Amino acid sequence: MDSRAVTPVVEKTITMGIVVLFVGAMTTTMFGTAVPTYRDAVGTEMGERVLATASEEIARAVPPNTTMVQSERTVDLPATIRGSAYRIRVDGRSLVFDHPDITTRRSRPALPPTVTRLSGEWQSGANTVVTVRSVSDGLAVELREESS
Amino acid sequence: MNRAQTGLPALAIALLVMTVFTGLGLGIADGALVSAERNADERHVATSLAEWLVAAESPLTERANVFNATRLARLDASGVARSFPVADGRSFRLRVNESTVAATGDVRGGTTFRRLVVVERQQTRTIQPDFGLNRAITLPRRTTKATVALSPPTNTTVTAVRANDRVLLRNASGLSGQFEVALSRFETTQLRFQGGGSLPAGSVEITYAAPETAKTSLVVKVDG
Repeated sequence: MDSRAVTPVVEKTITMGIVVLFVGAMTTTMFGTAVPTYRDAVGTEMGERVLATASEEIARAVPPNTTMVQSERTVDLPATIRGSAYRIRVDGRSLVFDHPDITTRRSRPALPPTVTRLSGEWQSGANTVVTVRSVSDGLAVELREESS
Repeated sequence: MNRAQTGLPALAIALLVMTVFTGLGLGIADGALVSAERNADERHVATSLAEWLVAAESPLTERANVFNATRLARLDASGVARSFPVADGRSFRLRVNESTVAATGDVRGGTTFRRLVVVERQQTRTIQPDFGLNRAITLPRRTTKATVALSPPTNTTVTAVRANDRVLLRNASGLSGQFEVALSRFETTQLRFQGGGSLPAGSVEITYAAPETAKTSLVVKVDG
């Protein structure tokens, strides 16, 4: 039992080593797999809901059968999803959700046949506005950004 | 060597407990995420389709929330996709009164949206009223036209037919034969026959088209 005086040092060293290893492993699992998975899942879900909201807001901005329309509606959208800015643009009669990290999605707003034109683009973070105006052959819906 | 490392098992247990709790926490977070997940797009299509189907401008309705039974029976899936472009390219199933009206493909899961609606049916009815003293009969509400066939007995003359207080038909020397009369759908009509002599049952026959309404439910199911 000559080595008894050394044992506390050995024990502390082993303990420190184990704790450091444990914290390292924990951090790796959390930031390597769990957190990015959740981030992606929440980002995708959020993108889907934002697109559906935008679609609904646009459909709601169109008034029922009237002759002269000039309306404007502010649509509140989150500035960033999953840490980056995104775009909502028009393709034909559909809306397209463009994000650098999330797969592109499409959604079709329920517009009456009186709407003949759907155009414009929204950049997140801007003051997003949808305008409806009467044109010669029906209604024109435009996605615009307004400088506040 | 053996005696001094008594602190190590305690450390191991502590780390183990921490790992278990971290795992539990992740499990709870996962459950919350899964339960919050719903198909926003599908839901959007289902709600807007249900809303447009019963809108006043919809080709299927008489007025807001009232379906025309004839037009509803003629509806099929391609008609829905044509009239309601929001459903174009989606699998959906519409059920009214527990029976499928229009469906595409196979709809298994999906988002379901329910609404209470009224289905209106035009019913043609013929009555031969047996008049009381006031010689009046009330037709069901929203009747827009009626055919009045008058064949009074020989010693009776019907000089006028009034709808509420409006004169519909008038002939001082007596009315006889078949007459088409237009009625207002905005008021409940009471037909009153004026003249001398008795009007036994069978001498007046009224045929009217009255809408009959039934409350039922519309179920819109959208899948993908």
